[in-house]
Amino acid sequence: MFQLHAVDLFIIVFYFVFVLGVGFYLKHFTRSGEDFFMAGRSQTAWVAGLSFIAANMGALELMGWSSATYQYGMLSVHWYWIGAIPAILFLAIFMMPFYHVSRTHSVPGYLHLRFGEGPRGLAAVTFVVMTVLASGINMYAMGLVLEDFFGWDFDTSIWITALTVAAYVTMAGLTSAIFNEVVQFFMIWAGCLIIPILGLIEVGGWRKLVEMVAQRSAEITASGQPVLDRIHIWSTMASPEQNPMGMHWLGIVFGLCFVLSMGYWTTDYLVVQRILAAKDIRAAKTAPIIGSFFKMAIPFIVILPGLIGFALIPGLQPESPDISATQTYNAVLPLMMKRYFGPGMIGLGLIALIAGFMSGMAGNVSAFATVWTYDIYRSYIHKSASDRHYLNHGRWSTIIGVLISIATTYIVKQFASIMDYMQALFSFFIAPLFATVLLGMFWKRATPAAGFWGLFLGMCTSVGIFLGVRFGWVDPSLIAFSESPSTMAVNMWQAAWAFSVNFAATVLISYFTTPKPLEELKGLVYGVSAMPHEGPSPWYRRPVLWAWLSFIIFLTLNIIFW
Amino acid sequence: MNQERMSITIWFLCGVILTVYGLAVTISGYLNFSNPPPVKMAYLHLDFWWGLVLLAVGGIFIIHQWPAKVKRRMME
Repeated sequence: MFQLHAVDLFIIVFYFVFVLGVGFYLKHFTRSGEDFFMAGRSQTAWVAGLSFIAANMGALELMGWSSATYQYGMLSVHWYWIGAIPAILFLAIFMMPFYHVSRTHSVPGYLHLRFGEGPRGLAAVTFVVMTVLASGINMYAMGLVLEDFFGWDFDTSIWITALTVAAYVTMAGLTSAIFNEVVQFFMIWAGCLIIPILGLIEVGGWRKLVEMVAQRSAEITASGQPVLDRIHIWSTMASPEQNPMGMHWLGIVFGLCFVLSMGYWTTDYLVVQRILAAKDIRAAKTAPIIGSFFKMAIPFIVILPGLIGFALIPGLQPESPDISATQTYNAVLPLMMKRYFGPGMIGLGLIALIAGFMSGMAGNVSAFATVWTYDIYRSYIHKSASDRHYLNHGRWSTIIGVLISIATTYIVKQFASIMDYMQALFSFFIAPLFATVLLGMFWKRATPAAGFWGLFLGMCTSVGIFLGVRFGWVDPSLIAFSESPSTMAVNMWQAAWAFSVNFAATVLISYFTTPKPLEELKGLVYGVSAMPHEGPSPWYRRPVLWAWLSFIIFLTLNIIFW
Repeated sequence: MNQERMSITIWFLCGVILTVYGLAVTISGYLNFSNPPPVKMAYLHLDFWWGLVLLAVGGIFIIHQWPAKVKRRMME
């Protein structure tokens, strides 16, 4: 267990006072629904871009992926590179113009404009459920860390952190969430950057680390079994039996890159909301591109510590009721901090973790408040109230969202791994939603009826496969095309199936139902809308140029670690 | 959002927190010189040097984003 000193306590207390102070300061500038829910649509590309990435850096990023790296090796980096960069760039260049020009306040809002009430209602309700569950995961992970490593009471730490997030988001809504997310982004780097640097120094550099990882892999492999490579990210993917994740390259390319990642980065309102707050079309296109560069760099503070932990801290195991949380894969990042951090640095490391949890939670809560207020409350419950009324309702729904999230924290305890559960959750709703948005935005023939039924059938497929595998009704090897697929592989194929069913159903039903007139699709669909241009600018400020640069770096990284 | 009146920028706020933390960690690191904590690589005195880095980054943000300067830029 960590021992906290006066300087660590100062760092922790100052942080909580600081984020509340930011919320209090911004409250004076929050006077309308547009201010509260959309941050006044006035954020610069850098602010929106950093917030876009920070909102994604919750428990999932920091502890979950270090844990996954300990378990599966460098393959986890796919979730940062091919599982993020193409989707982020696609969002920036092809989708943001339509989100921005339609002036929609949310992704369900876009579905309303494109398909009508049905898909909007379905997407809004499922999103609201997903955000509170995701928020519950965040809190569960945070409560465990604070309890196991710092000896803090689980319930007390959850309540203090959750109420702090509730307070600052309630005061100034999305603006407050975005401002604090940018601060949290810096805190995460300040607290985590040193770990891989010291780790590499301790093991003697990258080459030595590769040797140590190979040696450790051999040690944990049962006699007679082949030793699996944990360093290369593509060359071991020709067959699921050749890598620790039990994954085929097709699953990564189609399931992760094309379905899960595209679905998450382009239609999950938690992240898209940050970009919708951009001040103009140029900022809206540039923000995700800025985010993509940082996303590619995050493995340095998340994946590398997991790999170094695998080499230096043997014996961590999967989660189980029989062992302490400090002996599980999820403990690898805190254990690395404990290994290197003395007084002061411990406080900084702890704040990095808390900041990660809080930014994820604030992202979920602010997105929840917007979708609930605009897409459910204003659309179905109270249609014609004043802007002031919706502003107040947004504040109340923020508090209620946090309370529901606290209640859902305990659901997470039923699942074997935080990461696998998160993937399952995404694929329930995000994968089929992506098919609907994709066809809606790029195919003018897609009809409102097809939009609804395709989405509904896709979601049923996802939930059906999840329940089927969990209760043993379906053989997972049939779903994932592998003899012994990991839970993560099954989740990814589950997403791919849900997407495919939605896609096929939407196309099929569209040919038997009536499409919307072309006049109603202007500004919403490619081919019938003039692409909004970001205005004249020097060549070095053009988003497309930076998108290409990001893509080239992405390709280079994949080749280096092939 | 009436951002014309928001002279305290997000970057200034980042500067403040980085400076405060940089100062705290540097002082703590200085005090640990004579009594290094029982952690790996303690001989590198990472806390002291990392605190200085945070202090420098925070200082740059604060100087560049000082509210009076921001206000002046807004007026221009």
